[in-house]
Amino acid sequence: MVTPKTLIKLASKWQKVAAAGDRRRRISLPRTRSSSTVADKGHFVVYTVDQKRCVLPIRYLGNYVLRELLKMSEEEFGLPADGPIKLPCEAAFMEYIVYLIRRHVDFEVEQALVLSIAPAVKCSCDSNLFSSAAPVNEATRPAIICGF
Amino acid sequence: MFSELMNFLRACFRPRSDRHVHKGSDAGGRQDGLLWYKDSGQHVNGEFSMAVVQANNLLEDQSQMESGNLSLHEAGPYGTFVGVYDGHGGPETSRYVNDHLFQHLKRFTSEQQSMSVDVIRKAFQATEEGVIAQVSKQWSMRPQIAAVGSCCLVGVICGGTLYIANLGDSRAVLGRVVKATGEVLSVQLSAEHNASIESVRQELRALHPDDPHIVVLKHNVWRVKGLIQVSRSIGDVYLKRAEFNREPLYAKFRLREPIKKPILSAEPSISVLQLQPQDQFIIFASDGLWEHLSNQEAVDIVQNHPRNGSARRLVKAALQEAAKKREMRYSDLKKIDRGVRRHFHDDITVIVVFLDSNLVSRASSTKCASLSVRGGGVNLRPNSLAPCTTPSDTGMA
Repeated sequence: MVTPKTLIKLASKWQKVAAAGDRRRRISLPRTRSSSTVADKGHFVVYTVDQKRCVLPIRYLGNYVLRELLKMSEEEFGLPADGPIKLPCEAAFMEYIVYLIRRHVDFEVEQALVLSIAPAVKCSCDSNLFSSAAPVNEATRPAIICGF
Repeated sequence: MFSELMNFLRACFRPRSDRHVHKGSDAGGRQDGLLWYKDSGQHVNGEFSMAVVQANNLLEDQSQMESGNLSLHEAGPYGTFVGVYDGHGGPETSRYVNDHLFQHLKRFTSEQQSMSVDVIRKAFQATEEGVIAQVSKQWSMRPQIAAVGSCCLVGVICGGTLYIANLGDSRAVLGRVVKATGEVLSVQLSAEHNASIESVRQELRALHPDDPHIVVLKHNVWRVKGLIQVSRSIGDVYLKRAEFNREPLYAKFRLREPIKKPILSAEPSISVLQLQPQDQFIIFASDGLWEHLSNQEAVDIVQNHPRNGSARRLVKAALQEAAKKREMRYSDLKKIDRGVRRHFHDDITVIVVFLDSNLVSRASSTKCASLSVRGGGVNLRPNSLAPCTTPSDTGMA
């Protein structure tokens, strides 16, 4: 079982890495050229609530945290009919997710992370029933995690 | 030597994932990843083409093409029956409709010895009653079944007459040639019941004058009671009967006020059309197609290409559009597995029914061989990219 202590330790380590500003180790989201609206081969696009465009490798769709974020996006915003996917979190949190995926962290850590960001969403994940309803509580928004 | 023998034996006994698909003949359709298709087939009134692409973990779209006897008596009438059932909340209701609606229709046609609007209406009603009976039976074990429903689009071609019956937001579009110019124009044949349409919201408000929250706008999408986009469906009994809108149904589906009269209706909109020689083809499709293609775009794609593979071509065009909206490549979209795929597009079902005017004008008593094709033939096993939880696969048998 992962304790909150482990999580905080992990998060602060990430912050140090990010703050160090070392070009080789800097955490950043891969992006396409701004002139192109279609992602590079092998990638998909999500937007964050603070309007940042994140271009991620297709294989990231297998990641548990990302899949949970997609479910939360559906609960919060519905499935977008005419545009790109928007995730209910900020870019800083996405950077953290990318860092976790690259580090291949344990599934337990990912699970703890998901539980900490949206306990309200968990009950609806156990079934394929409906895509609407269940507003995500303001207090449980993933943006909180960015404060680590 | 021994290992070679073992490999040979293993190859012989390896279970094939495509064993249900008739690869050589194309008779039952083919599977290519999440795409199922039957490029060409023959029905009583001409050719047809079918394609289904799955996005949900369990395919919620169901469909059927039935050609031949539309009654239980040998005397007929004979004709073509097309059904597109777009499920929501799970696959159970759309599967039930796929298994029962056509049988009910045959029974009522036999009783009345002809095809009519009344026969179709009764078949819908009997199917809805069957679903309610199933939910009553399963309520104590699986209360969430009350929140599963299905749109239902049906086309019947019999004796030169076309009947279109619709519940929900699937759509049938006719391609009709304009004699003077030779152009093929789209004619929408079905009325839709989606709260995004102003007249549907007005109808709901008129039916529920005491309820200021009968339709709610959330994130630019209109929903009935803030829960569902369609105003008519088969199933969804939690919005039809008070006894199914209570615990242990999930709180998010429960209404504050007890249901006094049904909020959703199961009454189909039915239209009747005498087919003319200039009527070329009809495209039946779930809303997964129409959210990416306009009626005329779809008609143009069918008209400007060979008939063979028309439905698959329409699905591809819709997926290319979906990829564009998600700012990614079509080739990458196709790599995304079911379940996660629902965030990129909906399940899509397309049936293109071509009309051969010589065959259409034939009497409905003319006997012919029967044909029955179900869309999306194979049930795939769960895999790594699919969501972690899988609802019970055993539905309303």
